Amino acid sequence: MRPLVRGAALAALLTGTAAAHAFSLDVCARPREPSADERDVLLRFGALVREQVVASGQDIVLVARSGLDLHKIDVRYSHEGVALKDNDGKPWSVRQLYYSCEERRPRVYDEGLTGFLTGTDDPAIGFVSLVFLPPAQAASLRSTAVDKHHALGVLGASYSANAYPFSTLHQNCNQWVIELLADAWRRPGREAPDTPDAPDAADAPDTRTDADARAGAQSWLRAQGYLPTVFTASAHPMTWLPAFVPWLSNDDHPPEELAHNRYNVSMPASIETFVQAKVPGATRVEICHAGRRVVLHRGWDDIAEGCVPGASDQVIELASD
Amino acid sequence: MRHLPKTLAIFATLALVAGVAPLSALAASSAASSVSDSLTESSGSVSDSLKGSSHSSSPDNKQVKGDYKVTDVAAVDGKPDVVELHLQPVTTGADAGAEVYLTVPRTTLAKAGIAEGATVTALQRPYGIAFAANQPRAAFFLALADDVAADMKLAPVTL
Repeated sequence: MRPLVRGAALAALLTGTAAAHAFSLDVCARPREPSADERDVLLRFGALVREQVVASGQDIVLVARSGLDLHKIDVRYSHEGVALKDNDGKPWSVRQLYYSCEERRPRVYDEGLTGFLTGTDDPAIGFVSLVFLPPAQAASLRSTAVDKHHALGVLGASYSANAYPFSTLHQNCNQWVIELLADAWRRPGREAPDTPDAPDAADAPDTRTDADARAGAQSWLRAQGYLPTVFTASAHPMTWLPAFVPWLSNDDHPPEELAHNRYNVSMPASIETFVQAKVPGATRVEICHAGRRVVLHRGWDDIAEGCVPGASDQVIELASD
Repeated sequence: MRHLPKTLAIFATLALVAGVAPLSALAASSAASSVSDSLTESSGSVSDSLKGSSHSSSPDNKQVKGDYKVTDVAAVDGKPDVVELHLQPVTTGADAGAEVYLTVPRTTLAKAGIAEGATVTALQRPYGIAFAANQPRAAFFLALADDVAADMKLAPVTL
C-alpha cells in the first residue's frame, strides 16, 4: 500500500539510510491498484456517500477523506476539497489542490466525486467527512469556488505539505481550501461568519491582485482566530529533510515555533473546527467503512476508531452478493 | 530517538497531505470527457469492456446478471494485453441474464484462474456490474457504468 511504502521509506530516511532520494520519488509513484474486491467495496461506499451529498439538496459541500488511520496522533483526515454540483458539466465534482509531480508545483484540479471518494490510501478502512453550510455561506463559497479566477487566485506557487498557514511562501491542499473559504467570506457582498469584522473585511472595492488574495485571506483568517493543527515534533529532521523531499519545507515556519518543535499546519480538522465555531447552522455527516461495514454518523464528534458504530449511528452491511 | 515513532507518524501524515495528483491526470487532462482509456486491471467502463450478443453494442446493463459459463476466451485484434470472454447464461428463461462478451486484461484472467469452461457470476451494483468467480466468490473485474467511469476523471483547472 502506498502509505506504508511511504512510511517505510520515511523510516529509512529518518534513520539515515540510502533511501532518502528514493523516498522523494515514492510519493509520486503510481499507487497500488486496489483489487476488484476492494474496489467493489470502495465504489459501493462511495455510492452511499454520494447519496448523502445528493440528499442534502445543496450545491456545495466541504468533503474530507482519510489517509492512514493515525489515531495515535489524532489525525484521521488528511485531504479536503470542495464538492460542487453541476460544475463544468459534471453532476458532482471536487475542486481541490494536488501536488503535481510532473510540474513539481501545486495545481487546482476538478475530480469526479466518485474518483475523489475512491482515491483512498487504504482500501480496507476509510472515513469521509461532509460539512453542509447554511444557504448564505454556501452561496458565497460556491460563487467563489466555481469562479476560476478566484479558485486560482488563492493558489500558491510552491507546494509544501507542512506549509505554515500564515505565510504565502508555500501551500498545502487544505490551506488552499481554508483560503478559498476566507476569500469567499471576507469580501464585500459575501456572507461572513458571525464574527467581528476583520481588518480587510470591510467595504473596499475588490481591486486586489492574485498576489494579494492569499495574504488577504490569511490576514482575515488570523483576525477570525483560525487555529491550524499543531504537530509537535523534533525539528531536527526538518533541518535537512527539505533537501531530499520536495514537498516539505522549513523556511516558512516562524523560528520561535520551530524552537519549540511546533509545526502549525492546515488540516481538515482545523478547517472543520473553524467552520463549526464560526458558521452557525453548519452541519456535519461522517461516514466510514471497515471492510463491508458502513457506519453513518451525524454530528461534529467523530465516529470511534476502527469505524465502530455508536448507539445512534446507522449501520449498513454491504452484502458480498 | 525517543520522539522518532511520533515524528514518523507525523511525517507519514504529511506525506498523505501531499495529496499528489495521480499520474493518470495527464491522460485525463487531454481526454477529460473520454471514457475510452478507462480499462485497468480491475475495472473498465461498460462501453469499453462489455458487448451484447450482437457483438457490436453494449447490452442492457440490468440484464447482465446471474451465473455464466465461459464458452470462449479469444484474443482481441490489435490489443495483445486483453482477451474477450464469451459468456453464456447458465440458466434459461425470463430471469436468465443476457449473453455478453467481456473484455478484460490477460493478467486479470490469469490471476483469477479463469479459463474456458469456468463459471462466473454477474452481480448488479450501483456503479455497474461486478464479475465474480471461484469459491469463496471474489470479484475479479468491475464493469463501470459509463457515467461512473467518467466520474473518476481528474482534470486541471485552468483559465
